[in-house]
Amino acid sequence: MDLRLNEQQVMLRESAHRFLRDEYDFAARRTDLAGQAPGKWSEIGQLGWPGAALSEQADGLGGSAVEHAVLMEEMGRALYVGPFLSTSIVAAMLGVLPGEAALGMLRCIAAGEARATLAHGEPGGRGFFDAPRTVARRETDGFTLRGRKRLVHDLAVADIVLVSAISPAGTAILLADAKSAGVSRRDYANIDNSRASDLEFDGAPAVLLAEGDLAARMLDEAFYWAAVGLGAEAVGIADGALKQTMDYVAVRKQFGRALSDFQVVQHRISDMFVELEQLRSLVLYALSVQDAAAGERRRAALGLKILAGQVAARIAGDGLHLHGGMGMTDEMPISHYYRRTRVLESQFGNSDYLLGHHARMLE
Amino acid sequence: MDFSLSETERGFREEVRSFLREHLPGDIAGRHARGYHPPKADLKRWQAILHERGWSAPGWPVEWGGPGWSPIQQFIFEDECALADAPLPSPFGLKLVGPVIYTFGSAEQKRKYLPAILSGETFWCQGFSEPGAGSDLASLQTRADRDGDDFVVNGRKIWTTEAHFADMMFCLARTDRTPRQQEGISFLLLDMKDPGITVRPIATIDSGHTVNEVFIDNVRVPATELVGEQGKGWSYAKFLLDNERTTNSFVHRSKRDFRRMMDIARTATEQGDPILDGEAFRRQAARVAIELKALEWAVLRMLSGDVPDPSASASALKLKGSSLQHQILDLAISAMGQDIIPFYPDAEQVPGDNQPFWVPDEAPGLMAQYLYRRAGTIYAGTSEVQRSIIYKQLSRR
Ligand SMILES: Cc1cc2nc3c(=O)[nH]c(=O)nc-3n(C[C@H](O)[C@H](O)[C@H](O)COP(=O)(O)OP(=O)(O)OC[C@H]3O[C@@H](n4cnc5c(N)ncnc54)[C@H](O)[C@@H]3O)c2cc1C
Repeated sequence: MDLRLNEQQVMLRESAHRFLRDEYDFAARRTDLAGQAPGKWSEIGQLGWPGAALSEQADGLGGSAVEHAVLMEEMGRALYVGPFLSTSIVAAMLGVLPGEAALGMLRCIAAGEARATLAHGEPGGRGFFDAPRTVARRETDGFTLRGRKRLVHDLAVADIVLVSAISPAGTAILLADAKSAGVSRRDYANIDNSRASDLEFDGAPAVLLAEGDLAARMLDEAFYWAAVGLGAEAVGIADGALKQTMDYVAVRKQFGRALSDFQVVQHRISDMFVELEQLRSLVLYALSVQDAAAGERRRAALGLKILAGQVAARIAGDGLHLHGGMGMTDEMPISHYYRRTRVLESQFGNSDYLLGHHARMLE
Repeated sequence: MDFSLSETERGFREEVRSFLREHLPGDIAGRHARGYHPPKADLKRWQAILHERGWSAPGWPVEWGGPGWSPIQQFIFEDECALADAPLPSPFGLKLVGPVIYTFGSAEQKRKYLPAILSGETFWCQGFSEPGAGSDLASLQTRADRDGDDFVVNGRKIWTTEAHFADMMFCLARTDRTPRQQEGISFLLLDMKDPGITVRPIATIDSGHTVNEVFIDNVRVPATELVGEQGKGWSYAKFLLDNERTTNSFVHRSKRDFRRMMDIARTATEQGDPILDGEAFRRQAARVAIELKALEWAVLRMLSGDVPDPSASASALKLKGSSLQHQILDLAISAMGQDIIPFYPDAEQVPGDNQPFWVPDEAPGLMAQYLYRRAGTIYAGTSEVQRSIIYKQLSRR
């Protein structure tokens, strides 16, 4: 066993770190967010990030979920907002599929030419494991979709849109065009500055990609990559929040002393670190089971998503408090870390929901 | 000991309740329930309605226009107001500077300011904190230099809630250089219309606008606007901060929030079952309900004078109260599920197609409120400051 990153992975991390530090600092991020399509996609494509975890056959770099986690952690630290996670999730799903069509899409993703998203959650739903109620119907010349999808992250910039639905053969995954007739759509912003859309399908045409077991495997893959991605992102967020807070309390003076001189402040920061260590460790465990049986993988992913949501919110919340009034301002990164953790905690189902699923799998 | 409300107190509760039913405007209550900050117009209208009934200043002595209620009556009144979604009146005039003026102010100040606070014509803001003086308030640097019959004030205040719509500011400024920081501070009343005052909004985590930076540049304040004695400002400020701490248990609002949380958990479902029917959720809610009850009785004890050390207990109320309000909202957020992710701009302020298609009734405003309430452990003395006060008080005995 060796839990350290290999040489290529270290290089990837360093290059990601450099790029985000130089091209995506807090001010550059603000400018990027004000634009039409935040996320520096063409630069990221050139750096090869979308293909870092993809197979060589798909023109990727032949990496694994480890590369995905390495990048997501850096993005978390930099408070990156953009379609990277959505695209990675779809890539992982497509990787399950045989055939040239899927490979073609993967190659576009790896080349940085296509952004993608999965439309899965529905109104009234609680999380990822709710069965879709959107209906896929077979017509003479393909399929049509009827139903509602919500909180579809990054839909407005997605070139590839996968939709989960129910078909006579069980769960189905289809390829849809959100701009086609029969789709109405509403775009909006989230509290962490990310963007999402609600969709209503009313007989919109779609292409069937998988049904039954194969579709279920695609969704399993999606959840695993989502959880590992968010787990690693949470590490980046928590680590970033910890550093920002340490910098702040070292400089801020009250009662003639730096805040960092007060033992209560020191201890609180130490507690943040303790929680972060737990989270870092669970990310590694979740990565260790990427090729394990589906059950173990799912349980590990659930556990990581739950801990990530809780720990990141707590650490960022502690950091916010230690900033005093400054922590409440839009001007300070800590308030953005905190907002991001609140969204992260709810994405794909909040801890309460996911704990139910995890608890049922406990043996 | 008598644990129950007296006949008169029960009657009073009924009276308040029916008054609220008849006179609290539905639009104001509706907006307040949403969780966004109440606009000034709402605060003003509601204060005027209360004033007409003679109820606008529950804690004030009769002499200055208070209703002459017992502490328990005040508790009942605030409880009913919160449960009816009446907006909390702006505290700066009524709860903070009003009592300072009627306790330490000159006859002229009382005449000039108290009636307009009662009626809601004049809004106040609190100019205490500065960029360099937060927890260590006594290190404040704003200066007021005597020049003939005036003070000339220069400095910078920060986090000044409602400065953007306040008419007046009560302000701490240094009038004398003394070895003990606390001794050279004076308590002044500033007119916000003075051209030397500039108010700059501070963008906050909830995307709302409540706090500001205030730049004070050569503002001339007649010496008649000095409260009490020059150099004694710190003791008036302490009097004010003590009052502020006691009213910061948030208990009435938390009771209202608890109900709202239960409503959310009853309405939201998982696989067709209400969230509230989930055993784990219910137990968490029960735990919080127990703590909330204890907090309520802690406030009642305080009001009956049944506490060994009012100052320590006041801080205990603030600490518990701020943590409980988080716990309640945490449950509400958890029950709301993924609907807390979108940013819901206040539809009355920012109309347009900027919200999701499908929005549960209680979702807009909930997260904004949650984010804003993070400040509960920061303003009016941070949790660490409260803990220091408690220990100092306890170790004195
Ligand atoms: C929403 C909001 C509204 C406000 N409204 C007003 C207003 O209307 N008028 C006004 O005058 N002020 C207002 N304030 C200011 C508020 O009173 C201050 O923010 C508060 O006193 C803390 O000061 P600070 O922000 O400078 O934090 P700091 O004092 O810098 O504290 C930062 C952190 O360090 C901790 N800390 C500080 N000293 C110690 C110590 N000795 N030991 C251990 N820990 C310590 C604090 O607890 C905090 O967690 C408001 C603040 C907020 C957030």
